[in-house]
Formats: sequence, structure tokens, C-alpha cells
Amino acid sequence: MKASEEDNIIGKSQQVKEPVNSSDSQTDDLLQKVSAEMLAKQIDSVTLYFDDSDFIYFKRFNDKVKQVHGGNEEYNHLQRLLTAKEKEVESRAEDQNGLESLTTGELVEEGLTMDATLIHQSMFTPVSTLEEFFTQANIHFEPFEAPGGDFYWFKNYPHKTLIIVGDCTGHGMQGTMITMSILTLLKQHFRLLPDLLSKEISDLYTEIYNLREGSNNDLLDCELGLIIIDRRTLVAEYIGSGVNMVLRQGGKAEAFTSRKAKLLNGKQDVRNFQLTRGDEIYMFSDGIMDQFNDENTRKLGSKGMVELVNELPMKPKLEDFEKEFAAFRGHTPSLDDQTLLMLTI
Amino acid sequence: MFKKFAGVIGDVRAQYLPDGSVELLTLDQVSKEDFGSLFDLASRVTRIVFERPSERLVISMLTTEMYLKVTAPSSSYNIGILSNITSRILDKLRMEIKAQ
Repeated sequence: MKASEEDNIIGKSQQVKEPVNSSDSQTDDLLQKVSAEMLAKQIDSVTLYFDDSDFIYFKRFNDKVKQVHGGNEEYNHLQRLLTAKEKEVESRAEDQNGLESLTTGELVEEGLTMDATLIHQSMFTPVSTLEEFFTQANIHFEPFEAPGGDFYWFKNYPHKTLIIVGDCTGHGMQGTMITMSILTLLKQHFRLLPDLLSKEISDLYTEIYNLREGSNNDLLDCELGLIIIDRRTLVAEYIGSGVNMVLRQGGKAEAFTSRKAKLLNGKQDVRNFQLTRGDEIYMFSDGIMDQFNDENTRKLGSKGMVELVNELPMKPKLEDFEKEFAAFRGHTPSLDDQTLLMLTI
Repeated sequence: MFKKFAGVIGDVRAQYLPDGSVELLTLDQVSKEDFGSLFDLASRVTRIVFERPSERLVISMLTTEMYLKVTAPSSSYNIGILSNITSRILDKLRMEIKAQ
């Protein structure tokens, strides 16, 4: 290498090193992983863009990789995801080691249990994935009869996130089978960012009802609640067909209700609202609202749900909701699948 | 799966990147690319740009199932221009998808 070229490179590294470089030592998992790959493959620089707004920039200086830009929320978040992923891989390896010590009979039984669990779990996106955007994301799922007919699903588009909570006809295995059909249609229908939410959901119902051919033709049905959030501006839209939501902003809860009949008649409006950091969203199936109290005299209802959410502490955890809900329910058994998706922006 | 976009890809490559390459990848394929597994790990990662001594490369999310990979020789393009070209190609492909 010529002296002038070498000076140039040293000059570049000095330009970026002093004012912005926040980490010189390869200490965290993300930097170590990136460093190893960049050094092994002789890559000079890597930039990761998040929704084309924020970014992380790594640059190699001879045998050292430095994070030149990235001391931001996205960096910490990516770091947490990477650590969680590594733990998951370790946990799977441990599970596999545990299976090796079982007898043939135990293995068959274990296999059947695992199959049932896998089918059940395959319907849900892991809650940890939702935490990529939300400060907190939790799911309360209590089927009336396992595996159940409630579901939630979400999809990230560039800049926007769509979240859906659904309640399909029936419980147990029947509910699950209908859920699988509905989810297949949903995933196909929402593969691209929806333009007009009210039209998209009406079109979806048309597709669902077009599938009905048998005599029990009202079985293939569901109630839905949809929110779409612009991750840059935090502007959100809600529409539903029976799956309602409660929004708590500044400590005050408000119910957003919907009905399928109104939606199918074109009378269900989209609700637009502005979110801010710390806001809480609760989307829930009707099994929650239809829960009777301990005396078996009164349903929770949407007003009761608003009151319950108002009772929760600030920055609530799922356990706080479950404690309040259990106190309302007392000893009265549930009559339906109960699903509540709890999100903190 | 990507055959229907072959015409658009061929046109934009000829227009913007005569000495580069433009490819569409599935999530499985992109996971095998350098740093491609980050798309699967964190869906908010929408674009990865990296530079090697001989080439510059941009991988960008078109949909969660479809990714655009644009490669060009370092001598012909700086990274800003390549990113800009990638955005133009993405816009054209999105229009194509919407029209279908």
C-alpha cells in the first residue's frame, strides 16, 4: 500500500472515531457477531436501516470493527433480540438432550404432546416478536376447551404494523380448524399493506363467506378486531367486527366497540387516533366481556372492561390484568375462549 | 414465483445498473446472505447495506416474503447512489405488485 493511501485510511478512521464512536471494545453480543462476520468475510462496512429512518453503522478498521453510529434504541433492541434468540437455541438443545433419556413409550407420549403443542403454538406469532416495536406485549389466552378458536396475528409492513385479534366459531379442535382456514385467508388477504381498512375487512368477509358450501354454512365465521399503526408517526386506525379494544391514554381508558352486523352493512366506521409512548392497547375477544362476576349476576361488558383497565397501575404488567380479572370472575367459570392482547406503546 | 417480475428487473437493470446485478430473493434465500438472518430476527430491519473492497451491496425488504438484492462494483457507484437506485427499483416493483 502506498503511503498516501495509508494516510488516507488513517485520516478517515480519525474523522469518524473521535466524535461519534461510542464503543471501542467488542463487548456486546451484537457487536461481537457483526465483528466476527465482517472480519471473516473481509467486509469493510455494514449499515442496518430500520424503517429507512434510523440506522446502525459498523465499520472495519484493519482488524477491528467499530460501531460508528448506533447508540440508539434500535441498537439496544436488536441486541436484546439477539440474546433472546441465542437463549432459545440453547433451550432447544437442552430439550433435545432431555428427550434422549426417555423410553420408547415415553417418547411416543412426549411426541404426541409436543405435536399438539406445536399445532397450537403455530397459530400464534411469538409475543417476543411483537416487543420489537411495543415497549411491552403480552397475551392472555385461556381457551374454554383446548386448543381453542381465538387467535391473534400481526404483520409488519415498511413503516406500518397490522395487528389482528380474532374469535372463530366454536371451541376446541373445531375452533382451531376454523381458525386455520381464516388465518390462511387473512395472511393471503393482507400480504400487502391495506389501502382502505374498512374495504379490506369487508372484502375479507366476502372471501370467507364464498368458501361456505356445506349445509352447516354458518360455521365458517369469525369476529375480528384490527389495528394498523404507523410506526413513524404513531397514528393508528381501528376497525372491528365484534372484537373490541380499550385504549388507555394518560391514565384514562376508553372503549372502542364494533359489531359484525354494522360492518357487513357498511355502517362500521374506522376509528383514527394518535398514540403516544406509554399508551396501552387492550384488544380482546368477547369471552372476556361475556365473563360473569363472582355472584354470577353481571357480565363484565365493555363498561366493566374500561373500569377494570382504569383500576390497573401505571405501566401495568399482564399479571396486574389477570389479578383484576380473576377478582371480578371469582369462582364463576368462563363460557368461551378468552383472549386479551395487551400492548404498551 | 419471481418470473412475473423478470421483465421489470431486466428493464431497471439495463437502465440503472448495466454493470451490476438485481435479484429477488425469498426469506429463506436472504437468510443465507451475509447478515441476511437479521431480517428474520428483527422485522424492523428493512435494509442492509454493505461494502467489500470490490463491490457494494444493498439488500432491501420488498415484502416480508420478498427481498431485493442489488450488487454493483465499487468502482462504478458510491453507496448513496446505489441506495437511491435500490429505492427506485423497489418503487417500480411495488407498483407492479399493486397493479396485479
